Amino acid sequence: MRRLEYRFDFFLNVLRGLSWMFIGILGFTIIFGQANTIAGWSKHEALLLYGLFVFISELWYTFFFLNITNIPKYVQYGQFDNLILLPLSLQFLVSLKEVLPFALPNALFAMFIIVTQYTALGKSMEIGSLLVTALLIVNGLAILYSIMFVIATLSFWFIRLHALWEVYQTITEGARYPVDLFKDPLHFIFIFIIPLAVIFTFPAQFLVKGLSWQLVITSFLVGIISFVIAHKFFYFGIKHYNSASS
Amino acid sequence: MSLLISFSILALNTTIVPAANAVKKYLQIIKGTWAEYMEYRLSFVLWRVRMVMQLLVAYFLWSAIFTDKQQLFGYTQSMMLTYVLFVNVVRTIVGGTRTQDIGTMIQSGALSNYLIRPLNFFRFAISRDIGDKTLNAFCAMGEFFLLFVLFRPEFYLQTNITTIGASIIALFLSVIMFFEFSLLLSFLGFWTNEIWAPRFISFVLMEFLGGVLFPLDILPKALFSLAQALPFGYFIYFPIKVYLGQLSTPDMIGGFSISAFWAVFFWYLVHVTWIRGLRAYTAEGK
Repeated sequence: MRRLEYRFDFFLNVLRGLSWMFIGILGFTIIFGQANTIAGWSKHEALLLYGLFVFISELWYTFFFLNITNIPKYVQYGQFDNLILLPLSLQFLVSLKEVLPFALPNALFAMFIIVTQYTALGKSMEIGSLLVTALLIVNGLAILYSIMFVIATLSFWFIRLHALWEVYQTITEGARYPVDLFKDPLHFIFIFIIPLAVIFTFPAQFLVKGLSWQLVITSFLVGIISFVIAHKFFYFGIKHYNSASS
Repeated sequence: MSLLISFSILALNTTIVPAANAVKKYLQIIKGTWAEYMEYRLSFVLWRVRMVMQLLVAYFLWSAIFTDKQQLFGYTQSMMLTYVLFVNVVRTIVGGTRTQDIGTMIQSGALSNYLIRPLNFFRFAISRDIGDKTLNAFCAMGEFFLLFVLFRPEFYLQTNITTIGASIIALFLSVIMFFEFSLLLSFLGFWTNEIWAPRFISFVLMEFLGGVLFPLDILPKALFSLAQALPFGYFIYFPIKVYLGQLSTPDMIGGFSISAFWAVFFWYLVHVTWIRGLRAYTAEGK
Protein backbone atom coordinates (compact mmCIF):
# COMPACT_ATOMS: atom_id res chain seq x y z
CA MET A 1 0.00 0.00 0.00
CA ARG A 2 2.84 2.33 0.84
CA ARG A 3 4.56 1.63 -2.45
CA LEU A 4 1.38 2.58 -4.29
CA GLU A 5 1.18 5.78 -2.26
CA TYR A 6 4.79 6.50 -3.06
CA ARG A 7 4.19 6.10 -6.76
CA PHE A 8 1.04 8.18 -6.61
CA ASP A 9 2.80 11.00 -4.79
CA PHE A 10 5.60 10.77 -7.29
CA PHE A 11 3.19 10.99 -10.19
CA LEU A 12 1.34 13.89 -8.58
CA ASN A 13 4.55 15.80 -8.07
CA VAL A 14 5.59 15.34 -11.65
CA LEU A 15 2.12 16.46 -12.72
CA ARG A 16 2.41 19.50 -10.48
CA GLY A 17 5.79 20.42 -11.91
CA LEU A 18 4.77 19.85 -15.50
CA SER A 19 1.54 21.81 -15.26
CA TRP A 20 3.27 24.76 -13.63
CA MET A 21 5.99 24.70 -16.27
CA PHE A 22 3.49 24.36 -19.07
CA ILE A 23 1.53 27.37 -17.88
CA GLY A 24 4.68 29.35 -17.28
CA ILE A 25 5.97 28.70 -20.76
CA LEU A 26 2.58 29.38 -22.28
CA GLY A 27 2.47 32.67 -20.43
CA PHE A 28 5.86 33.69 -21.74
CA THR A 29 4.87 32.66 -25.26
CA ILE A 30 1.78 34.86 -25.13
CA ILE A 31 3.71 37.77 -23.68
CA PHE A 32 6.51 37.55 -26.21
CA GLY A 33 4.05 37.15 -29.02
CA GLN A 34 3.43 40.83 -28.55
CA ALA A 35 6.85 42.23 -27.77
CA ASN A 36 10.35 41.24 -28.76
CA THR A 37 12.01 42.17 -25.55
CA ILE A 38 10.76 42.67 -22.05
CA ALA A 39 13.02 44.75 -19.82
CA GLY A 40 15.84 44.08 -22.23
CA TRP A 41 15.42 40.29 -22.21
CA SER A 42 14.47 38.44 -25.35
CA LYS A 43 12.09 35.49 -25.38
CA HIS A 44 14.76 32.80 -25.23
CA GLU A 45 16.71 34.66 -22.58
CA ALA A 46 13.60 35.10 -20.43
CA LEU A 47 12.61 31.46 -20.89
CA LEU A 48 16.10 30.37 -19.93
CA LEU A 49 15.78 32.42 -16.76
CA TYR A 50 12.43 30.78 -16.12
CA GLY A 51 13.96 27.33 -16.64
CA LEU A 52 16.72 28.26 -14.22
CA PHE A 53 14.18 29.45 -11.68
CA VAL A 54 12.29 26.16 -11.91
CA PHE A 55 15.54 24.21 -11.76
CA ILE A 56 16.72 25.87 -8.55
CA SER A 57 13.21 25.62 -7.06
CA GLU A 58 12.97 21.91 -7.77
CA LEU A 59 16.41 21.32 -6.27
CA TRP A 60 15.21 23.21 -3.21
CA TYR A 61 12.13 20.95 -3.03
CA THR A 62 14.26 17.86 -3.39
CA PHE A 63 16.84 18.55 -0.73
CA PHE A 64 15.72 21.19 1.69
CA PHE A 65 11.99 21.89 1.61
CA LEU A 66 10.80 19.16 3.92
CA ASN A 67 13.71 19.44 6.29
CA ILE A 68 13.60 23.17 6.78
CA THR A 69 9.84 23.29 7.14
CA ASN A 70 10.17 20.56 9.77
CA ILE A 71 12.54 22.58 11.96
CA PRO A 72 9.72 24.39 13.81
CA LYS A 73 8.20 20.97 14.51
CA TYR A 74 11.48 19.66 15.89
CA VAL A 75 11.62 22.68 18.16
CA GLN A 76 8.04 22.31 19.28
CA TYR A 77 8.33 18.61 20.08
CA GLY A 78 11.89 18.67 21.32
CA GLN A 79 13.15 16.31 18.65
CA PHE A 80 16.60 17.77 18.44
CA ASP A 81 17.80 15.76 21.40
CA ASN A 82 18.23 12.59 19.36
CA LEU A 83 20.05 14.40 16.61
CA ILE A 84 22.42 16.31 18.88
CA LEU A 85 23.83 13.06 20.19
CA LEU A 86 24.95 11.94 16.74
CA PRO A 87 28.57 12.58 15.79
CA LEU A 88 27.73 14.45 12.58
CA SER A 89 27.19 18.16 12.23
CA LEU A 90 23.70 18.99 13.49
CA GLN A 91 23.05 21.46 10.75
CA PHE A 92 23.98 18.89 8.14
CA LEU A 93 21.71 16.30 9.72
CA VAL A 94 18.77 18.63 10.00
CA SER A 95 19.14 20.02 6.50
CA LEU A 96 19.45 16.76 4.66
CA LYS A 97 17.45 14.42 6.88
CA GLU A 98 14.91 13.63 4.22
CA VAL A 99 15.48 13.97 0.55
CA LEU A 100 12.46 13.99 -1.75
CA PRO A 101 13.38 12.43 -5.04
CA PHE A 102 9.95 13.34 -6.42
CA ALA A 103 11.06 16.71 -7.63
CA LEU A 104 14.11 15.48 -9.51
CA PRO A 105 12.26 14.71 -12.77
CA ASN A 106 10.96 18.27 -12.69
CA ALA A 107 14.50 19.54 -12.22
CA LEU A 108 15.45 17.52 -15.28
CA PHE A 109 12.62 19.06 -17.30
CA ALA A 110 13.80 22.47 -16.19
CA MET A 111 17.32 21.63 -17.28
CA PHE A 112 15.85 20.60 -20.62
CA ILE A 113 14.26 24.04 -20.93
CA ILE A 114 17.55 25.72 -20.09
CA VAL A 115 19.45 23.69 -22.65
CA THR A 116 16.94 24.19 -25.45
CA GLN A 117 16.76 27.93 -24.89
CA TYR A 118 20.53 28.17 -24.74
CA THR A 119 20.92 26.38 -28.04
CA ALA A 120 18.15 28.50 -29.55
CA LEU A 121 20.25 31.52 -28.70
CA GLY A 122 23.05 30.02 -30.75
CA LYS A 123 25.72 30.53 -28.17
CA SER A 124 28.83 28.46 -28.08
CA MET A 125 29.44 25.97 -25.31
CA GLU A 126 32.41 27.29 -23.39
CA ILE A 127 33.39 25.02 -20.57
CA GLY A 128 34.65 27.94 -18.52
CA SER A 129 31.44 29.95 -18.60
CA LEU A 130 29.32 26.83 -18.08
CA LEU A 131 31.36 26.02 -15.01
CA VAL A 132 30.97 29.50 -13.59
CA THR A 133 27.23 29.35 -14.26
CA ALA A 134 27.01 26.04 -12.44
CA LEU A 135 28.86 27.57 -9.50
CA LEU A 136 26.55 30.57 -9.55
CA ILE A 137 23.55 28.23 -9.48
CA VAL A 138 24.95 26.36 -6.49
CA ASN A 139 25.71 29.72 -4.92
CA GLY A 140 22.12 30.83 -5.51
CA LEU A 141 20.81 27.65 -3.96
CA ALA A 142 23.07 28.24 -0.96
CA ILE A 143 21.69 31.77 -0.49
CA LEU A 144 18.12 30.51 -0.80
CA TYR A 145 18.88 27.78 1.70
CA SER A 146 20.46 30.27 4.10
CA ILE A 147 17.52 32.67 3.95
CA MET A 148 14.98 29.94 4.62
CA PHE A 149 17.23 28.40 7.26
CA VAL A 150 17.53 31.67 9.15
CA ILE A 151 13.76 32.09 9.07
CA ALA A 152 13.29 28.52 10.27
CA THR A 153 15.81 29.15 13.07
CA LEU A 154 13.53 31.91 14.33
CA SER A 155 11.23 29.13 15.48
CA PHE A 156 13.56 28.59 18.42
CA TRP A 157 12.14 31.80 19.81
CA PHE A 158 8.75 32.09 18.10
CA ILE A 159 7.77 28.48 18.40
CA ARG A 160 4.60 28.54 16.40
CA LEU A 161 6.10 29.32 13.04
CA HIS A 162 3.82 27.48 10.69
CA ALA A 163 3.81 29.09 7.33
CA LEU A 164 7.34 28.47 6.08
CA TRP A 165 6.05 27.17 2.78
CA GLU A 166 4.10 30.41 2.41
CA VAL A 167 7.27 32.36 3.11
CA TYR A 168 9.08 30.52 0.36
CA GLN A 169 6.27 31.14 -2.12
CA THR A 170 6.14 34.79 -1.15
CA ILE A 171 9.86 35.30 -1.44
CA THR A 172 10.07 33.67 -4.83
CA GLU A 173 6.97 35.29 -6.25
CA GLY A 174 8.89 37.60 -8.50
CA ALA A 175 11.81 35.27 -9.03
CA ARG A 176 10.84 33.92 -12.42
CA TYR A 177 11.24 37.30 -14.06
CA PRO A 178 14.46 39.25 -14.64
CA VAL A 179 14.98 41.64 -11.79
CA ASP A 180 15.20 44.54 -14.24
CA LEU A 181 11.48 44.17 -14.83
CA PHE A 182 10.73 45.73 -11.50
CA LYS A 183 10.93 49.34 -10.53
CA ASP A 184 11.72 50.63 -7.09
CA PRO A 185 10.91 49.76 -4.38
CA LEU A 186 10.67 46.15 -5.53
CA HIS A 187 13.86 46.49 -7.58
CA PHE A 188 15.78 47.57 -4.52
CA ILE A 189 14.23 44.86 -2.36
CA PHE A 190 15.04 42.11 -4.82
CA ILE A 191 18.68 43.12 -5.02
CA PHE A 192 19.62 44.13 -1.50
CA ILE A 193 17.07 42.74 0.91
CA ILE A 194 15.87 39.43 -0.49
CA PRO A 195 18.54 38.92 -3.14
CA LEU A 196 16.41 37.17 -5.73
CA ALA A 197 18.58 38.93 -8.27
CA VAL A 198 21.69 37.13 -7.02
CA ILE A 199 19.96 33.77 -6.66
CA PHE A 200 18.08 33.61 -9.95
CA THR A 201 18.77 36.46 -12.34
CA PHE A 202 22.56 36.64 -12.09
CA PRO A 203 23.33 33.04 -13.11
CA ALA A 204 21.00 33.36 -16.09
CA GLN A 205 22.35 36.76 -16.95
CA PHE A 206 25.91 35.50 -16.77
CA LEU A 207 25.09 32.73 -19.18
CA VAL A 208 23.21 34.66 -21.83
CA LYS A 209 23.96 38.35 -21.47
CA GLY A 210 27.16 38.53 -19.58
CA LEU A 211 27.78 39.67 -16.06
CA SER A 212 30.60 41.92 -14.92
CA TRP A 213 33.21 40.07 -12.91
CA GLN A 214 32.59 42.44 -10.00
CA LEU A 215 29.01 41.20 -9.80
CA VAL A 216 30.16 37.60 -10.06
CA ILE A 217 32.56 38.07 -7.16
CA THR A 218 29.85 39.91 -5.21
CA SER A 219 27.46 37.01 -5.79
CA PHE A 220 29.87 34.52 -4.28
CA LEU A 221 30.58 36.87 -1.41
CA VAL A 222 26.87 37.15 -0.70
CA GLY A 223 26.64 33.37 -0.84
CA ILE A 224 29.45 32.83 1.63
CA ILE A 225 28.27 35.53 4.00
CA SER A 226 24.66 34.29 4.04
CA PHE A 227 25.78 30.71 4.65
CA VAL A 228 28.00 31.78 7.55
CA ILE A 229 25.16 33.82 9.04
CA ALA A 230 22.74 30.91 8.74
CA HIS A 231 25.28 28.56 10.32
CA LYS A 232 26.07 30.81 13.26
CA PHE A 233 22.48 31.77 13.86
CA PHE A 234 21.39 28.13 13.91
CA TYR A 235 23.92 27.18 16.56
CA PHE A 236 22.99 30.27 18.53
CA GLY A 237 19.43 28.98 18.40
CA ILE A 238 20.49 25.53 19.53
CA LYS A 239 22.17 27.05 22.57
CA HIS A 240 18.95 28.81 23.41
CA TYR A 241 17.03 25.58 22.86
CA ASN A 242 19.34 23.65 25.16
CA SER A 243 19.18 26.20 27.92
CA ALA A 244 15.41 26.32 27.63
CA SER A 245 14.81 22.59 27.79
CA SER A 246 17.20 21.88 30.66
CA MET B 1 -57.89 41.11 23.19
CA SER B 2 -56.05 38.68 25.41
CA LEU B 3 -56.32 36.15 22.60
CA LEU B 4 -54.57 38.60 20.32
CA ILE B 5 -51.82 39.14 22.90
CA SER B 6 -51.25 35.47 23.50
CA PHE B 7 -51.29 34.83 19.80
CA SER B 8 -48.71 37.57 19.27
CA ILE B 9 -46.50 36.17 22.00
CA LEU B 10 -46.79 32.73 20.45
CA ALA B 11 -45.93 34.11 17.04
CA LEU B 12 -42.93 35.94 18.47
CA ASN B 13 -41.68 32.93 20.34
CA THR B 14 -41.88 30.67 17.35
CA THR B 15 -40.48 32.98 14.74
CA ILE B 16 -38.63 36.11 15.74
CA VAL B 17 -36.93 34.81 18.86
CA PRO B 18 -35.54 31.63 17.29
CA ALA B 19 -34.50 33.66 14.27
CA ALA B 20 -32.71 36.17 16.49
CA ASN B 21 -31.04 33.34 18.37
CA ALA B 22 -29.98 31.73 15.14
CA VAL B 23 -28.52 34.98 13.92
CA LYS B 24 -26.67 35.38 17.22
CA LYS B 25 -25.38 31.84 16.90
CA TYR B 26 -24.01 32.35 13.42
CA LEU B 27 -22.71 35.80 14.29
CA GLN B 28 -20.60 34.09 16.94
CA ILE B 29 -19.21 31.83 14.26
CA ILE B 30 -18.30 34.82 12.13
CA LYS B 31 -16.54 36.47 15.05
CA GLY B 32 -14.86 33.17 15.81
CA THR B 33 -13.40 33.08 12.31
CA TRP B 34 -11.95 36.57 12.82
CA ALA B 35 -10.45 35.46 16.15
CA GLU B 36 -8.84 32.45 14.47
CA TYR B 37 -7.15 34.73 12.01
CA MET B 38 -5.83 36.93 14.76
CA GLU B 39 -4.21 33.88 16.30
CA TYR B 40 -2.49 32.91 13.09
CA ARG B 41 -1.51 36.50 12.41
CA LEU B 42 1.78 35.65 10.80
CA SER B 43 0.30 33.25 8.27
CA PHE B 44 -2.39 35.76 7.48
CA VAL B 45 0.03 38.65 6.97
CA LEU B 46 2.30 36.46 4.85
CA TRP B 47 -0.61 35.44 2.70
CA ARG B 48 -1.61 39.05 2.14
CA VAL B 49 2.01 39.99 1.37
CA ARG B 50 2.08 37.22 -1.20
CA MET B 51 -1.14 38.44 -2.82
CA VAL B 52 0.32 41.93 -3.02
CA MET B 53 3.53 40.57 -4.52
CA GLN B 54 1.59 38.68 -7.17
CA LEU B 55 -0.35 41.82 -7.91
CA LEU B 56 2.82 43.90 -8.19
CA VAL B 57 4.51 41.35 -10.41
CA ALA B 58 1.53 41.31 -12.77
CA TYR B 59 1.40 45.10 -12.66
CA PHE B 60 5.08 45.52 -13.57
CA LEU B 61 4.92 42.82 -16.18
CA TRP B 62 2.05 44.42 -18.03
CA SER B 63 3.61 47.87 -17.69
CA ALA B 64 6.75 46.53 -19.32
CA ILE B 65 4.79 44.89 -22.12
CA PHE B 66 2.91 48.11 -22.80
CA THR B 67 6.01 50.35 -22.87
CA ASP B 68 5.91 51.03 -26.56
CA LYS B 69 2.34 50.16 -27.33
CA GLN B 70 -0.94 51.94 -27.06
CA GLN B 71 -3.18 48.94 -27.37
CA LEU B 72 -2.77 45.23 -26.98
CA PHE B 73 -5.39 42.53 -27.47
CA GLY B 74 -7.95 45.29 -27.42
CA TYR B 75 -6.80 46.65 -24.07
CA THR B 76 -5.15 49.95 -23.32
CA GLN B 77 -2.55 50.09 -20.59
CA SER B 78 -4.94 51.70 -18.13
CA MET B 79 -7.62 49.08 -18.79
CA MET B 80 -5.15 46.25 -18.34
CA LEU B 81 -3.68 47.70 -15.15
CA THR B 82 -7.18 48.29 -13.82
CA TYR B 83 -7.94 44.66 -14.57
CA VAL B 84 -4.83 43.55 -12.71
CA LEU B 85 -5.65 45.69 -9.68
CA PHE B 86 -9.17 44.33 -9.58
CA VAL B 87 -8.07 40.71 -9.84
CA ASN B 88 -6.65 40.98 -6.34
CA VAL B 89 -9.87 42.36 -4.89
CA VAL B 90 -12.19 39.95 -6.71
CA ARG B 91 -9.97 36.96 -6.07
CA THR B 92 -9.89 37.75 -2.37
CA ILE B 93 -13.63 38.18 -2.07
CA VAL B 94 -14.54 35.18 -4.21
CA GLY B 95 -11.70 32.88 -3.21
CA GLY B 96 -11.52 33.67 0.50
CA THR B 97 -13.04 30.62 2.03
CA ARG B 98 -12.68 28.15 4.85
CA THR B 99 -14.38 25.36 2.96
CA GLN B 100 -11.08 23.60 2.39
CA ASP B 101 -11.00 22.89 6.12
CA ILE B 102 -14.07 20.75 5.62
CA GLY B 103 -12.05 18.25 3.64
CA THR B 104 -9.65 17.83 6.56
CA MET B 105 -12.60 17.67 8.96
CA ILE B 106 -14.06 14.78 7.02
CA GLN B 107 -10.79 12.88 6.90
CA SER B 108 -9.93 13.32 10.55
CA GLY B 109 -13.44 12.57 11.71
CA ALA B 110 -13.78 16.00 13.25
CA LEU B 111 -16.87 16.47 11.14
CA SER B 112 -18.74 14.41 13.72
CA ASN B 113 -18.30 17.18 16.27
CA TYR B 114 -20.12 19.56 14.00
CA LEU B 115 -22.84 17.13 13.02
CA ILE B 116 -23.97 16.58 16.58
CA ARG B 117 -24.14 20.28 17.30
CA PRO B 118 -27.43 22.14 16.99
CA LEU B 119 -26.47 24.00 13.87
CA ASN B 120 -27.13 23.60 10.23
CA PHE B 121 -23.79 22.60 8.73
CA PHE B 122 -24.24 24.66 5.60
CA ARG B 123 -25.22 27.76 7.54
CA PHE B 124 -22.15 27.13 9.65
CA ALA B 125 -19.93 26.96 6.59
CA ILE B 126 -21.53 30.08 5.12
CA SER B 127 -21.04 31.99 8.38
CA ARG B 128 -17.38 31.01 8.49
CA ASP B 129 -16.99 32.20 4.96
CA ILE B 130 -18.75 35.50 5.66
CA GLY B 131 -16.24 36.03 8.44
CA ASP B 132 -13.40 35.07 6.13
CA LYS B 133 -14.54 37.17 3.20
CA THR B 134 -15.29 40.30 5.19
CA LEU B 135 -11.86 40.29 6.79
CA ASN B 136 -10.10 39.58 3.51
CA ALA B 137 -12.18 42.06 1.52
CA PHE B 138 -11.25 44.71 4.05
CA CYS B 139 -7.56 43.94 3.54
CA ALA B 140 -7.88 43.73 -0.24
CA MET B 141 -9.54 47.15 -0.40
CA GLY B 142 -6.78 48.54 1.77
CA GLU B 143 -4.12 47.06 -0.50
CA PHE B 144 -5.96 48.35 -3.53
CA PHE B 145 -6.00 51.93 -2.26
CA LEU B 146 -2.42 51.74 -1.04
CA LEU B 147 -1.18 50.59 -4.44
CA PHE B 148 -3.41 53.07 -6.19
CA VAL B 149 -1.88 55.89 -4.18
CA LEU B 150 1.66 54.57 -4.69
CA PHE B 151 1.54 53.99 -8.40
CA ARG B 152 -1.24 56.27 -9.51
CA PRO B 153 -2.21 54.21 -12.51
CA GLU B 154 -4.68 55.61 -14.99
CA PHE B 155 -7.60 53.91 -13.43
CA TYR B 156 -10.82 53.14 -15.21
CA LEU B 157 -13.72 54.29 -13.08
CA GLN B 158 -17.10 52.91 -14.05
CA THR B 159 -19.80 55.54 -13.95
CA ASN B 160 -22.81 53.74 -15.33
CA ILE B 161 -25.03 52.78 -12.41
CA THR B 162 -26.61 49.77 -14.13
CA THR B 163 -23.19 48.42 -15.02
CA ILE B 164 -22.02 48.77 -11.44
CA GLY B 165 -25.18 47.02 -10.29
CA ALA B 166 -24.68 44.25 -12.82
CA SER B 167 -21.08 43.73 -11.74
CA ILE B 168 -22.16 43.43 -8.11
CA ILE B 169 -24.68 40.78 -9.10
CA ALA B 170 -22.01 38.99 -11.13
CA LEU B 171 -19.68 39.13 -8.15
CA PHE B 172 -22.39 37.72 -5.91
CA LEU B 173 -22.93 34.84 -8.36
CA SER B 174 -19.18 34.21 -8.41
CA VAL B 175 -19.07 34.04 -4.63
CA ILE B 176 -21.90 31.49 -4.59
CA MET B 177 -20.41 29.43 -7.43
CA PHE B 178 -16.98 29.25 -5.89
CA PHE B 179 -18.35 28.44 -2.44
CA GLU B 180 -20.24 25.48 -3.87
CA PHE B 181 -17.29 24.41 -6.00
CA SER B 182 -14.95 24.46 -3.04
CA LEU B 183 -17.46 22.48 -0.99
CA LEU B 184 -17.53 19.86 -3.73
CA LEU B 185 -13.74 19.59 -3.65
CA SER B 186 -13.87 19.13 0.11
CA PHE B 187 -16.65 16.56 -0.12
CA LEU B 188 -14.31 14.38 -2.17
CA GLY B 189 -12.86 13.63 1.23
CA PHE B 190 -15.85 11.38 1.89
CA TRP B 191 -14.48 8.89 -0.61
CA THR B 192 -10.76 9.44 -1.00
CA ASN B 193 -7.72 10.52 0.95
CA GLU B 194 -6.25 12.50 -1.91
CA ILE B 195 -8.13 15.76 -1.59
CA TRP B 196 -5.09 17.96 -1.98
CA ALA B 197 -4.39 17.01 -5.60
CA PRO B 198 -7.76 17.91 -7.16
CA ARG B 199 -7.77 21.18 -5.23
CA PHE B 200 -4.30 21.96 -6.44
CA ILE B 201 -5.27 21.21 -10.03
CA SER B 202 -8.29 23.48 -9.65
CA PHE B 203 -5.96 26.28 -8.45
CA VAL B 204 -3.84 25.85 -11.55
CA LEU B 205 -6.93 25.88 -13.76
CA MET B 206 -8.25 28.95 -11.96
CA GLU B 207 -4.99 30.84 -12.48
CA PHE B 208 -4.97 30.05 -16.13
CA LEU B 209 -8.60 29.74 -17.18
CA GLY B 210 -10.14 31.91 -14.51
CA GLY B 211 -8.64 35.19 -15.54
CA VAL B 212 -6.22 35.56 -12.63
CA LEU B 213 -3.00 35.79 -14.64
CA PHE B 214 -4.52 37.66 -17.56
CA PRO B 215 -7.94 38.62 -18.94
CA LEU B 216 -9.35 35.64 -20.77
CA ASP B 217 -10.22 37.40 -23.99
CA ILE B 218 -6.58 37.75 -24.95
CA LEU B 219 -6.49 34.02 -25.51
CA PRO B 220 -6.74 32.68 -29.06
CA LYS B 221 -10.32 31.97 -30.10
CA ALA B 222 -10.29 28.22 -29.48
CA LEU B 223 -8.92 28.53 -25.95
CA PHE B 224 -11.25 31.42 -25.20
CA SER B 225 -14.28 29.34 -26.20
CA LEU B 226 -13.04 26.54 -23.96
CA ALA B 227 -12.61 29.00 -21.10
CA GLN B 228 -16.15 30.28 -21.57
CA ALA B 229 -17.55 26.76 -21.41
CA LEU B 230 -15.83 26.03 -18.11
CA PRO B 231 -16.96 27.56 -14.83
CA PHE B 232 -13.55 28.97 -13.91
CA GLY B 233 -13.87 32.02 -16.11
CA TYR B 234 -16.93 33.11 -14.19
CA PHE B 235 -15.16 33.18 -10.85
CA ILE B 236 -12.88 36.11 -11.56
CA TYR B 237 -12.85 37.20 -15.18
CA PHE B 238 -16.57 37.72 -15.77
CA PRO B 239 -17.37 40.12 -12.87
CA ILE B 240 -14.39 42.30 -13.74
CA LYS B 241 -15.35 42.38 -17.40
CA VAL B 242 -18.87 43.43 -16.49
CA TYR B 243 -17.49 46.21 -14.33
CA LEU B 244 -15.19 47.43 -17.11
CA GLY B 245 -18.26 47.73 -19.27
CA GLN B 246 -16.57 45.94 -22.11
CA LEU B 247 -19.24 43.36 -22.69
CA SER B 248 -21.97 43.72 -25.27
CA THR B 249 -25.49 43.12 -24.01
CA PRO B 250 -25.83 39.66 -25.59
CA ASP B 251 -22.46 38.72 -24.07
CA MET B 252 -23.59 39.94 -20.68
CA ILE B 253 -26.85 38.04 -20.83
CA GLY B 254 -25.02 34.94 -22.01
CA GLY B 255 -22.49 35.31 -19.20
CA PHE B 256 -25.14 35.77 -16.54
CA SER B 257 -27.08 32.76 -17.80
CA ILE B 258 -24.02 30.56 -17.71
CA SER B 259 -23.08 31.82 -14.25
CA ALA B 260 -26.59 31.13 -13.00
CA PHE B 261 -26.48 27.68 -14.58
CA TRP B 262 -23.24 26.79 -12.82
CA ALA B 263 -24.52 28.17 -9.52
CA VAL B 264 -27.62 26.00 -9.69
CA PHE B 265 -25.78 22.95 -11.03
CA PHE B 266 -23.12 23.11 -8.34
CA TRP B 267 -25.77 23.54 -5.68
CA TYR B 268 -27.46 20.39 -6.93
CA LEU B 269 -24.15 18.50 -6.89
CA VAL B 270 -23.41 19.78 -3.39
CA HIS B 271 -26.80 18.58 -2.20
CA VAL B 272 -26.38 15.13 -3.74
CA THR B 273 -22.78 14.58 -2.65
CA TRP B 274 -23.53 15.77 0.88
CA ILE B 275 -26.28 13.20 1.32
CA ARG B 276 -24.30 10.37 -0.25
CA GLY B 277 -21.15 11.46 1.51
CA LEU B 278 -22.79 11.49 4.92
CA ARG B 279 -24.05 7.98 4.28
CA ALA B 280 -20.50 6.81 3.52
CA TYR B 281 -19.15 8.76 6.48
CA THR B 282 -21.55 7.31 9.04
CA ALA B 283 -21.18 3.86 7.54
CA GLU B 284 -17.51 4.01 8.45
CA GLY B 285 -18.59 4.41 12.02
CA LYS B 286 -17.25 7.89 12.53
